[in-house]
Amino acid sequence: MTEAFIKQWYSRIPEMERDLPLIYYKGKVYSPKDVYEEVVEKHSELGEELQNMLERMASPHTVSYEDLKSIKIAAEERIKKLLDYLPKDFSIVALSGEIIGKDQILERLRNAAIEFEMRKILKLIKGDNYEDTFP
Amino acid sequence: MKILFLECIHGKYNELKYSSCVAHRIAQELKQEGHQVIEVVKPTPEVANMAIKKYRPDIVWWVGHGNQHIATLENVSLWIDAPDYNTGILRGTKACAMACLTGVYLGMYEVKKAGCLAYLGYRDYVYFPWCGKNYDCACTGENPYGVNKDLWLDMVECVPESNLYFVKGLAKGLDPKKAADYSVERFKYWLDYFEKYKATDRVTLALLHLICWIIVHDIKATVIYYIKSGTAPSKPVHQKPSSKVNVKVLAEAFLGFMAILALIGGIHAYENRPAQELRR
Repeated sequence: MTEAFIKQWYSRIPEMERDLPLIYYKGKVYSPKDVYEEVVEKHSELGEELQNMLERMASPHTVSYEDLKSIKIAAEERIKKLLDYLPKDFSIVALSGEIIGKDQILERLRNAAIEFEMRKILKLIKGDNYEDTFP
Repeated sequence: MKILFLECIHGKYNELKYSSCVAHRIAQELKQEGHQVIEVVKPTPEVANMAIKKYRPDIVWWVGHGNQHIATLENVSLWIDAPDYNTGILRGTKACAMACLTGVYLGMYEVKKAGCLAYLGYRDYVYFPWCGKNYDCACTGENPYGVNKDLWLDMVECVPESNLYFVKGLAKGLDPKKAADYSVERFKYWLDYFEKYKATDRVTLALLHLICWIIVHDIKATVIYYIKSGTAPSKPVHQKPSSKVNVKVLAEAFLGFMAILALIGGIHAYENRPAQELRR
């Protein structure tokens, strides 16, 4: 994957999604914007490592178990960030009569949210190579 | 087809109105297609029962709160409680429940034991975004979050609308399983729509993701019970749980009585055993 490829990959990511966590590497999560900065602007060693990781995950091959674990961590961080973006007094309602406030949404929708965000991350990384393998 | 919509408005707040708005819109569509549609707004259990007995609908849709064995209507008033309260009311109909958790037990009981022909419900909670208990903005697209009105209306209505696609599917003549698939396909349509929608601010971005999580959750929670065509529905069960205990007690008493008879018989046989055996 060349720097030009990273530029092209980055340009395909919707602008509002560029700040959301995308990959987890060595104990830290990185957004597409972080990757872009490290690779294209800073030309750093970290950028090279992130680029290699993206390259491996972007291939049409099945994602490894280790990669899936790191994608799950990134998905959880995305969810936390997205919940922070919700308005302060926002809630959803259940047809059991319960009002679910912002702080309870993750607990109630955890599995569905993680599944959706993991799939989303894979789509963003793999682009045209994405193949839905979720049940 | 005769289709009855039980359009509740008030549960604990005005949360049921969000679904009833969509039901009303779909009821109009079905009327135009030539179906006989009956809409009952704010139904009490008594009014709902009367409507079902009077019109004998093929399909019954309602929105209300629920749990594993209970369905409620306007103001959370109890309508059905499986296995022993009003379960026969859906006999001969196809039911569509826009309610939490009734797919765990109530729906199964209705179809397996109470003569309901099909039941679409959910085996988990059903969630949807709303404006909160202090705002009555159902049916309008108005919202206190500054989100585009059309998008917000889609977000708050996509869940009940997808549920109502079961009714639309049945009205088109699909069998219950295919009608349930039609409902799930509608959820998937919305999932794809929201996923591709380009957010221009963080609140909208977060809401778009949230509604996708809700849809993924609701798809997995959807459950359909139905009588396969050509299979006679089960006979209704009128026994209350307490009577099951009585049957058990009776069975135990009968077994006890038989044991006593056997004992008396044994003593009698021993006393009348052959003299040769006595000599030993």
